[in-house]
Amino acid sequence: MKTKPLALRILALGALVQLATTSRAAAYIDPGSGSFFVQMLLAGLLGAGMAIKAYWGRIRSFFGFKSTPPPDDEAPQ
Amino acid sequence: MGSARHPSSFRDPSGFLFRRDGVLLRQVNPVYARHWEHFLASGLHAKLLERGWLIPHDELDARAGADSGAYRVLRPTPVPFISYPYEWSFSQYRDAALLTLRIQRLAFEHGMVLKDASAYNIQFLGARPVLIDTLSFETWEEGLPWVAYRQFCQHFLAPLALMSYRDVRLSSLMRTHIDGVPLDLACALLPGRARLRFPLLSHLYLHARSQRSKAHSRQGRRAYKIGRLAFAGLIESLRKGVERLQWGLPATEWGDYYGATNYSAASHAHKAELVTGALDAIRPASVWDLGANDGRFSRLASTRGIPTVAFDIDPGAVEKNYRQASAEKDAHLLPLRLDLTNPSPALGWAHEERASLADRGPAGAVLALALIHHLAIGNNVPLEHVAAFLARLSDHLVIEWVPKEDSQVQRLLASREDVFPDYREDFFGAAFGAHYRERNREPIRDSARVLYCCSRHPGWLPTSGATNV
Repeated sequence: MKTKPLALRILALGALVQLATTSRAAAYIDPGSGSFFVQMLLAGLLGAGMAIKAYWGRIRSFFGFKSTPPPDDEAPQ
Repeated sequence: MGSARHPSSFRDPSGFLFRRDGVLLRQVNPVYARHWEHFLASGLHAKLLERGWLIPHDELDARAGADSGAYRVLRPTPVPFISYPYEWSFSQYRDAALLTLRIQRLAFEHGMVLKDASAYNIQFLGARPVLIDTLSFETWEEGLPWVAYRQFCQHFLAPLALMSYRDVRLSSLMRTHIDGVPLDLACALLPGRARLRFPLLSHLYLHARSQRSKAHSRQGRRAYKIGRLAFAGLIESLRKGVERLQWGLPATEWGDYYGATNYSAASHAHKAELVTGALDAIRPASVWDLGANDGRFSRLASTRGIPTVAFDIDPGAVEKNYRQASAEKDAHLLPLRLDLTNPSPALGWAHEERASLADRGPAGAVLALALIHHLAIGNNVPLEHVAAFLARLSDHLVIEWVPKEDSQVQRLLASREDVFPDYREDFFGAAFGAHYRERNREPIRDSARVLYCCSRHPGWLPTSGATNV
């Protein structure tokens, strides 16, 4: 199984910064691979974001702040 | 007893829609059994129904399938009118996107994912979005990225970003691209400042670049892994991206029409009274209000519990109408955007995946209020052609005659030569008389306008192809 070293992920995330331009795609696009690859590229950052969010919630509740439920858990429409 | 497979239901091997004796049914194939049982046993199905996010269904005997191989046969609650993303207003589209993400999030909590995130899987019951594809769920294989990510970005994020950042009319790109707006095209059209939003930078720009760089990749999808937390983070990031997209509702062509119109309060009230009387006389099963503006006359039908579609060409008017209908939780009014001079065509494989406007009819009744002059003078359509087309859409018609001396007609003629000598009420009567018999003709008080209520001549066959999905 291929594992992606952290350094590679960091390098890949660096690609975000270089995205000053996006040229048009070639005639053929394989939608699957590119869409899976970009999710993997973003995984570290998005996962970290969620972890921080959860951790931040805990810090807030430790100091007695009420945690606000995410809007998605709203009552039936 | 024949079973006709629905022409747009062929991509997913999990099952398909078919119609028998006019009733829409869904066959579940054995290949989907594992996912289906998890869907029920995990409680996901029950929660989706409880929240009103999924179309309900009855389960029939599996022997009622279109073929002998059915694992289950479902009869979904019918959707009164199937609409398409290129007909939705901005908020409507955004609500459909947010519902898809909410469903995905709930599914993930139950160990499942949406295996497709097609905008066509969302329909509106009145002003409320609902998922209609009950077979959209599959059990999540630990570590696998979201299989519907590309589709979500192409069907929802890209068109919404274009509508928000560039022009709300760009939802029409969904009409030219059956599987959503290609991401490279979206990136080429978006202004540079869209890159400043992280969700757009990552899910559109980086995504498009990744698609390009991996275009010839031979790696299987299992070569890519993401963790549980990252998966949840991906959905959350998409949600934030969609939620922050806004559209400011500018004062467009029709936005303030009623403010600028020459109707007095008395004529307005009289017109409403006449329309109400016509609806009570016809008692239609459904109403299409063509040129509905913000839907104030459509509500005369929808408040009577009649499933009503309020069409208008102006994105601002439709947006306003949808926001109001949504705030009022209107269960019967569906506002949609439509250019009647170029109505939604049949699209997709074999011209059959997405139905044209006429193929989604016939409506129980059509309202054509303050419309005729826009078609006959604004778009040069001869009255005979207007009558012939409207007759294809419905058996019953409530139409307002707007004479040439009316200030709104004069406004249309102000900047052009009057080449409409036939735009007269007697010619109007003759053109429509070829298709309809007049039930009632009533001048609208305090105005030069006239309201007609008419029904098609007997012997006419209703428009064929009244397939509702």
